[in-house]
Amino acid sequence: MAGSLEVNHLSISFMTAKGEVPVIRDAGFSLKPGETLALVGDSGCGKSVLCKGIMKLLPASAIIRSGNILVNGVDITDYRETDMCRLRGRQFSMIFQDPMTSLNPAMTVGAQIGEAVKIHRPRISRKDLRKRTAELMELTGLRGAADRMGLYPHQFSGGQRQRIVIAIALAGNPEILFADEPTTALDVTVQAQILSLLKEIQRKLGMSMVLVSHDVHVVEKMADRVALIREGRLTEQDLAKPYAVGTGTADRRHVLLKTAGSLRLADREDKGEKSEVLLEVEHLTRTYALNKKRAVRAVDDVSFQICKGEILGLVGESGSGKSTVARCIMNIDKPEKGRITYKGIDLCDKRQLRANKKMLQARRQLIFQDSDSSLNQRMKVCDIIAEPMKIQHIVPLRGTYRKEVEFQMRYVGLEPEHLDRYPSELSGGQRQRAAIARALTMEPELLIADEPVASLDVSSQAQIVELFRHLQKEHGFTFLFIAHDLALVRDLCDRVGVMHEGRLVEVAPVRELFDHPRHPYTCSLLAASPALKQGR
Amino acid sequence: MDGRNLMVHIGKRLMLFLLSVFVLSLFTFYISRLAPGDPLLSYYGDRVEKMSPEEREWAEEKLGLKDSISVQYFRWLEQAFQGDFGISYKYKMDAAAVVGSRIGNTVILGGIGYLLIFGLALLIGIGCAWKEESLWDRVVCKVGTLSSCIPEFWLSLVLILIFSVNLKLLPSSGAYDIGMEGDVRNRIRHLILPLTVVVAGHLWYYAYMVRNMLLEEVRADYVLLAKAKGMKKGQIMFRHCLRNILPAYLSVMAVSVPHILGGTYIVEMVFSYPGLGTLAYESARYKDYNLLMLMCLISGSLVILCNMAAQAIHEKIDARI
Amino acid sequence: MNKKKPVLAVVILLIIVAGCFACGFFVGKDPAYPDLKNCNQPPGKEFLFGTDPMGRDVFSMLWHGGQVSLFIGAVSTIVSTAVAMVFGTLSGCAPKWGDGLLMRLLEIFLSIPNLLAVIFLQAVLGKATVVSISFVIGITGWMSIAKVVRTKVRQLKNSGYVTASKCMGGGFFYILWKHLRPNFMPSIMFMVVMNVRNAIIAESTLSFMGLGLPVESISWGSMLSMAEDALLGNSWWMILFPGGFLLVTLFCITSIGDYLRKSGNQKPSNL
Repeated sequence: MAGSLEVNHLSISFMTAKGEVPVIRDAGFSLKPGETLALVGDSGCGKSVLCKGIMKLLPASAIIRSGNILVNGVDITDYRETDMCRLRGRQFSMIFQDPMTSLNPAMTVGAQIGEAVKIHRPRISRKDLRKRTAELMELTGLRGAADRMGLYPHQFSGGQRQRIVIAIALAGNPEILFADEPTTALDVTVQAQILSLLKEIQRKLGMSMVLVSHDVHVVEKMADRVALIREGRLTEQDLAKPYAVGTGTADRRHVLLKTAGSLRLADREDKGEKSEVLLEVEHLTRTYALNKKRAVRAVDDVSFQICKGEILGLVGESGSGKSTVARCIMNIDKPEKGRITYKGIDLCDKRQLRANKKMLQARRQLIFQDSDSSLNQRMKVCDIIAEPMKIQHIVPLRGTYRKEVEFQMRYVGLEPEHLDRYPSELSGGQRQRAAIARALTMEPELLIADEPVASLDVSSQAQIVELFRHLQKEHGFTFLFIAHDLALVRDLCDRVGVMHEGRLVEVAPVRELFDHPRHPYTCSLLAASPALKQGR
Repeated sequence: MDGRNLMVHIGKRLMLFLLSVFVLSLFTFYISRLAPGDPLLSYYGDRVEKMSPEEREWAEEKLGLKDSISVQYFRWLEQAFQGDFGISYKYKMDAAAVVGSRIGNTVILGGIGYLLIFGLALLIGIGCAWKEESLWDRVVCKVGTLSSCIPEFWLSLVLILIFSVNLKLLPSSGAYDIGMEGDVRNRIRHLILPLTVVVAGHLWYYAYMVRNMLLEEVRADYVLLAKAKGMKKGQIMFRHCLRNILPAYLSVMAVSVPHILGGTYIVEMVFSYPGLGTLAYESARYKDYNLLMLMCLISGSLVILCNMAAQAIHEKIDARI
Repeated sequence: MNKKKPVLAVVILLIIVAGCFACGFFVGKDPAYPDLKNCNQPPGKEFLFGTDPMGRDVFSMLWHGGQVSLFIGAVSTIVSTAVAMVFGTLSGCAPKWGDGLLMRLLEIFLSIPNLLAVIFLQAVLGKATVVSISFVIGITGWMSIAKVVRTKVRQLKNSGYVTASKCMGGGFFYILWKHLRPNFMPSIMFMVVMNVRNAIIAESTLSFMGLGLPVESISWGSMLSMAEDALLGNSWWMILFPGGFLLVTLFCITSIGDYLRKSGNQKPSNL
């Protein structure tokens, strides 16, 4: 059942308006039956293009410039669409990154899986089709298949949807499975489940697998062999010493986190609890009404304090209510119950809020997760950073707004040449720097960062965290740092709070939390984070 | 939804419908009466200018125009509930009868046009989306864009100029020749030119919409998964993409009923086709109040009904997504 | 996948617009002068595009008439865009029930055939002037733009930079002008351009119905309104020349509008 794949000197280019852009350059690898090969590299290096190129799923603007592809010894390089249709699903199949979009929202999952079965066995009877669909769903760990066949994709969670996608991919008993970042879009705990499912299925069905990932830890767990891709070039690596190669930034973070992390812990050790309380959150509760009958409790009776100059980390998977807490503190959202006091000002009280409006607008600043949407695409960087000063009518210290902005930009590591660029012309890391600069122009006392590095690639993540650490030391602002990655929090924060389903299940100084986690959820979070396991 | 719930739902809708129609009638009544113009003109024609003040007074009394607008409105409402929509000033007969004599013609022209437009639009849209930027797609797009730039009346004139005046192939006006009312072939000959204009005037708008909706759908990620399953292009196009745009298309179809029927109006006028369009225009122009009210009620109800149908289709999708 | 720029369309349109507004310099004949000796002349040396039944020169009427038609197109588009922006933003920022109410209202407006509404309004208003026509056309053509504005505003108002701006203390109108407007402008640009086209069509149709500008004032529409008489006399130049002029202008506008719609998000097809 296992297939073999051989790719020789493959080059793929995209034809664009600006001319030909080579994406894959002279790539070659081989995959033996039953083996798992991991393709590792940063985002945009051409990993996905390589996989899609082999399955010929690329848009028409992509052309194979040279090289050949052999599946089970047969050269398929010049195959046309009709020939490929026969191969796809049977010889090889693919799992995509985002299970939220890769299923047709308007078809029941049963129909979508059944369709995949029927392509390869057109004369299958209705009863057998149902049986086979249920079988596939059970195989991928979806219990109660018979009842859930008639449901639509939106009625499933992200992890379950990825299971459905896997079921579809397995429908034609493929010999080779391409998994294109199958867990990137999922929560940490779900990631681990999906990975072990893939591993198990591969063993059971004896497939060969090509796993695309940017995460070294995923790769370590899964792969027999590793190939690194960098700028479209491919080099095969020995798994025994994957970090010896200083190519990918993927490994650099690893090293960086390890060294910096330990330093950090020592650094923070002797800090006492002598400083005053800046922000206090008491019994904060916020529910969102889904419809007339059902409501979801986003934040449920959360209480904590932040002292002046402290860095508090707030960790939890998506949907655990971290952002809602931040929004309530910033007065973007109104809490239902509970009190939030900032320097003795009750933020839920309208009169007190109005009296201190100006001060609060300046002294509390928020940095968003997605720098893509938090910067107006149609404003220049210079105007974006100057915006808070203009709104608050603050006379710039250094003469003009432009000079002031330039100063701030240099401070966060942006060059003056970026002044007149638009956000779309910056990289993700640079955009986040601009967002930080905007927050810093107001000299905030409290800075709230809502997953500020979640949408960045690993190397920029480390740099931004480094920047935060540096800035905090210089400015001494109080910092609420929200993340879903425990590894990041450990290096930066003094104390860490863990949120789960709207509740704050545990708050403890960072070392204590990592060494002696008390709540079972914290334990599972620690166990699921591959970076931490490596670090220890 | 169980039976009781359904009844409540329908009941609510019905109430909403009646309320909208009521508000509409109120508005039309007041606006039409407050607007400048002399309703007597449509009743007496040019004779109005030679009428003495006493005669005028008597005429207005007779037509019930002397009372305040509110009184007039409630009188109209009361009669309307009994099925009496008053007489048309111009035609001196029951307004309902006047409309009844014309409505068939408009329904034939609009109805056939409607089916043709939406059938063809779907075909052309799929044809274009099948291979984006192919020669066929590009040619169709250019021709379509051109067709959408032609004012309907001008196209009608050019067609008449070519086919009726110069080639003398097809009749230029009317729904049928005198005395040939029952002759189907004669009617079809009269329909060809107006129908061409009706279809040409709307076709590209909807075909382009189908094309763009499909092209958007084709860019969705699930198409890649379907392809990776091993599905053929045609299967993906028809089983996934087309199926997904169909609800939206149906709801557009519902909203478009008044547009297409209303669009026949200019055509009716150029081709002197005896339909509702000409009637509506005359009634607004010459303050034929009762007729105008009836026309407004009919078209208003149509608009509201179609909107409700579109919304019902929408809710059906909402229940799923 | 970048669409080619519609250079030809822009050039032709510029020529027509410039020609219409500078026609005094190169058109010798007075468009309003009825040369009664030369009624209904077919195109020839003396009268390039022939004359109308009143003996006016079609060639010079075309250029002068363009002024009025283009003016109506522009003014009515400004009216409709302004109304659409106000209505759309209002609905986009309103709470759920208000938004629902405004949207229902909009949908009802939207399903009233456009041209019919123009005709009725004008019929009710009576005598037409250039300004009243622009206004009537503008006031009936804002609905689809408003819908897009509203959808956009609803998306944008939850985006990070609007929230950020609010946190910094930016007021409603500040945010509307600085953040929302620049972001919804590109997505309605196409419709705005199409509105110019629709307005010109509406004006000509109105004139054709006899509801538009009087025959003495010259516009492309009023010229075409004589076409029915021209049919009887088989004077094709009265139908083809103004119509052709109108068509070329509209086609150029449409091409530009199409380009505006296409430039922007062009992800390659997956199929």
